[in-house]
Amino acid sequence: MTGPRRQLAAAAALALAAVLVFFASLPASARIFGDEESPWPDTEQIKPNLAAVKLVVRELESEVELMESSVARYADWETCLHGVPVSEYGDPDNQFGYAFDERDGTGPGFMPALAVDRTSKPRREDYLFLDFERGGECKSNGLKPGGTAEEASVHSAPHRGPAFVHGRTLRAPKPVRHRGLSGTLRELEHRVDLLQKASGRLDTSSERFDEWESCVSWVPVTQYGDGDGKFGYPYGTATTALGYLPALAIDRSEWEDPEYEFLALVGGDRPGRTCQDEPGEAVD
Amino acid sequence: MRGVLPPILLCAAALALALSLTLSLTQTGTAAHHRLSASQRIENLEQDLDSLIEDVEDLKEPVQEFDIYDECAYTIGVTEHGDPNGTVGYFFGATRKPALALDIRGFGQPQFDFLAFPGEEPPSIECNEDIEEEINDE
Repeated sequence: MTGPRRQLAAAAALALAAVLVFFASLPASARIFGDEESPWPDTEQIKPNLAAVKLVVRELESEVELMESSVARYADWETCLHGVPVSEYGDPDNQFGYAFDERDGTGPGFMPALAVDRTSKPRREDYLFLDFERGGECKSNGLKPGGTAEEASVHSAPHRGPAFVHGRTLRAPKPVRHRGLSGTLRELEHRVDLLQKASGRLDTSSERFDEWESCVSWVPVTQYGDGDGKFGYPYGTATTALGYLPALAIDRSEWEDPEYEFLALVGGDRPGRTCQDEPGEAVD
Repeated sequence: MRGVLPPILLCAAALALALSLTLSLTQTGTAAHHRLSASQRIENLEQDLDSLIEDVEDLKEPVQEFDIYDECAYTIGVTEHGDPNGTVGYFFGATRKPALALDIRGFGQPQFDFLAFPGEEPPSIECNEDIEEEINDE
């Protein structure tokens, strides 16, 4: 081999060695979960294989425990939500409906608004809004009411839906010294068995959430009228006008964002039965 | 009658035979498990873990989707004003109807706590990024 070729071969060998050293120095977890590489050592010796199995079991337990905590929160959510049938009354084109007065000199007109639907048959309501129950374990009593649209940003959340966690924990048994190879294997087999069961539970829960989430729509809602009663929807009895109140209506504005996106099952959609809209689709 | 076992004894004998057979089969199974060499048991564990790694990887995305809801959803206090019978309510033609309005002031509890997202963006785009920023700021 000539001089330059020898140098080239040496450089290539050095580069290869550097790459090998780099991969060997990666944390085992990166090697396990980061790519397609097998986490198992390239030897049949018991000790390194056992060490790798222990490491993988620990990593998986930690990942699964986090996931189980998320799923437990969903389970809590699910039990606290119940549907409230709501429909929009009045004409979106303002030809009839609730009276509305901006009190800006333009005169009174009509506006639609949302109200609890007490007359439609089940699944015939426009929307089934999702009410998060207050009582029992669903929410602590001391929570403040929700904020304005601005306050509804995540920076100053009035109160967040899930207020508690009942997570199942997947804990490795306490290490026992001098258990011997057979005992260690028995313990690992037991932990893998627990992991398999947890993975099955997670799978079932994630399917259930997916079914729910793909059926839920975001309904753009804005409150119209003045909270201080200076203008808005006239309110009163047959004989007496008591003043003006604001009310919620579907926001069809093309120029401005709605104040809120209420989560709802639209047009009779029900998880596990029929879902007309695409997952998470907004309602126009 | 002589030479014939009473039926109760026959039943007991059959039961004892069945029990001993079951026990023997169970022990055979356990013994088979323990007869596996340590290397074989480790190999089995590695195979189980290989498929578990795949399962857990597949679960990450769906579980994250729930986390997005968990991070971005709020409840907004809403109360219905007006009487469903029309005695008092919002003017609607010649009648009065109830309607929903935000109930986010004062000390009273709203009638409903509806699940909502901030209006500015659909979930998964910005709100969970905001949370990450808050965590980093802290």
